[in-house]
Amino acid sequence: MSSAAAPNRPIEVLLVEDNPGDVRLTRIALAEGLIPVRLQVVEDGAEALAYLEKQGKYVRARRPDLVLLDLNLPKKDGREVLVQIKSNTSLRRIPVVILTTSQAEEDILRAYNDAANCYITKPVDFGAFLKIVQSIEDFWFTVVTLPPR
Amino acid sequence: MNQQSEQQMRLNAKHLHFALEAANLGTWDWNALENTVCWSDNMEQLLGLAAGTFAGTCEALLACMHPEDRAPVAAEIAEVLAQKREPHGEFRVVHPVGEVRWLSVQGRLVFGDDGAVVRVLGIVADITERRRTEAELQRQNRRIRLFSDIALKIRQSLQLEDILRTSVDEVQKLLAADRVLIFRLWADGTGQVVQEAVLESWPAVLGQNILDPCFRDGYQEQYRRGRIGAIADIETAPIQPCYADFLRRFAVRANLVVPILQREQLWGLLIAHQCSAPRQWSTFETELLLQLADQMGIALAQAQLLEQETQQRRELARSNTDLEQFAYVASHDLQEPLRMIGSYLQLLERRYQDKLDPDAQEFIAYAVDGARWMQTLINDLLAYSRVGTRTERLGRIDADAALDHALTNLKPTIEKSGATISRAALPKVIADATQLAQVLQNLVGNALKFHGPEPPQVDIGVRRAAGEWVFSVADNGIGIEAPYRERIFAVFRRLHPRGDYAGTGIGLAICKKIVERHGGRIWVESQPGRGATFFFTVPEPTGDL
Repeated sequence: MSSAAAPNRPIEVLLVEDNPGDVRLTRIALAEGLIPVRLQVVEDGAEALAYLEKQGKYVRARRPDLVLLDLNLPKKDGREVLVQIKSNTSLRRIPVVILTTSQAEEDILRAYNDAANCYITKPVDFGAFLKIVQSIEDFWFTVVTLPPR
Repeated sequence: MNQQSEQQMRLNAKHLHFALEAANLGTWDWNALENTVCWSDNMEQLLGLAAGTFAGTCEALLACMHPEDRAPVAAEIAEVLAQKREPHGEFRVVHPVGEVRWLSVQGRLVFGDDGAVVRVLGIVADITERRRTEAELQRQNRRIRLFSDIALKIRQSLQLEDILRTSVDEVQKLLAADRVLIFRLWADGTGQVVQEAVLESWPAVLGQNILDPCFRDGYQEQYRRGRIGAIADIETAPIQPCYADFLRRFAVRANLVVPILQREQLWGLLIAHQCSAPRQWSTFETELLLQLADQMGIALAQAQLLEQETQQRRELARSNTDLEQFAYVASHDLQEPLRMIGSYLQLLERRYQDKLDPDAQEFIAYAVDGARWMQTLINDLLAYSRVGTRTERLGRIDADAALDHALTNLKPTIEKSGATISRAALPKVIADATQLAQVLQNLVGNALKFHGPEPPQVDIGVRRAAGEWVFSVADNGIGIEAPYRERIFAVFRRLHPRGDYAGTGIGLAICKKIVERHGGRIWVESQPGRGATFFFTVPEPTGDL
């Protein structure tokens, strides 16, 4: 296995998503995959940053191997979260995958400008969604060598 | 000397005397050897001396002169004698009441046998009137120059504030008035001093709202018809006492009021005040002020037009922003619930396949299909709304390159349909390259899609017309019946069931929006069953290609 993540521990994924329907779909899709993933979910941008910076109730939070970030979120939105992660020297190495409904050109450009690792538009089709989540899993957890923790 | 010639001489002397008298010319004769002067009777009158009081010497002459002119004239006399040059010049004399008059002198030298000057003969004329006229002309010329400078300054600005500020400042200087102000009039008869240039010694009236019962109804109407108000002295003018009181409050002694008309509406008044003393306003000054008020009226109308245009542009920008906002909401917020509907229906189908009967599965299939279709519609609507919000500037671009781009995108469809494409050489046009490619792609795409039993044959052409290029995309497809030739350009307007031909019906609507954004037109000519030809125009502003 080429991943830096030890095979004897599950992969840590932080999902930043406010729609419970999407959270459930993502859980189902990840569960259908082959790799054990421990999914943590926060519902808005402020929570996401608190989690990553281990503040408040997240003092014992595990550093994620990957962040799945929606763009349109309550309070602090995904764009701000992305900027803050990528400008934080200890967090910037964590790959951030933008997973959003938006197909707007300006969102795509802005996300890459702000150093998003990739940008994925959620499809309407469940089959297609399943495929996407599984390819995220496959690409980031088996193909890619992640930075050492 | 015989009697006849003596008679002749007397007659000549009489004629000469008459001519000199009529022209009010004085004559003098200076004997240089004896330093004595003979002069005509009217010389004393010209010099401003009482009859019989002129001493007839150079000193006596100099004594009559304006003090500033004595030294130059003395120098001139010395030079005339030294250089034996004929004297001529102009100088001022001061008459007893202090009146200053201008005289001109012209002389002749008479030489003795030894070549020395023995006599100087001369005539003197009063040229005061001529000098006055000249000075007045000069002043008028200077004012006309100033006027055109001011008019230019006023007309150059499109800022209301600048126009008014410049006007009062310059008019105050031009007329040397104590106060110049602009009084903005409102429809209810009240008004406000909106701009003022006033000398420090006089009270400022800027910002004052003026509603004086003294101003009768209808005074605005008189100004609207072009009335000018000029009062030389409020203390003696036949004006209502209340009006005089009103003017006294602002220390006004004389005033000149002209209307500022903006497209025949009375916008306000341009007012000059003299506070220090009465002032007789000349026709020239009144004319000048009127003309400046005209220039202001034009400048104000222009400024107002600009203001309206700026306002419209702001509103347009806001509506564009609204539209972008809408497009964004459509792309995100509407799609999210749609995704929930579609995905969970599919999840139901997967998880409970065994428990669902064929009806239930069919229902789910329709619901999922509906959700997918709606997503396509939303995305198409988004594309449509974005046509107008693209910020790319129009430039001269190669329509051939745009067509290349469109055909490359359509390549799989062209190959699949076995279509033949023929294309004319396209010109360079003023357009947004991406949007022109989009129009061509949609039209050629339609030509491929709506084909008949034969493989599609698409001809792309162009011809030059007055002030525009007319592009055409012709096909041999199913054609369009007459009643539908307009409505096919509407958003989501389709002529066929979805099962027959794919697409939401946004393509031609987008074409129409793009073409119109470029200032062109789009239409179709067709015979059902024998193909259709779509035409669109792109304006060609140079007009001489």
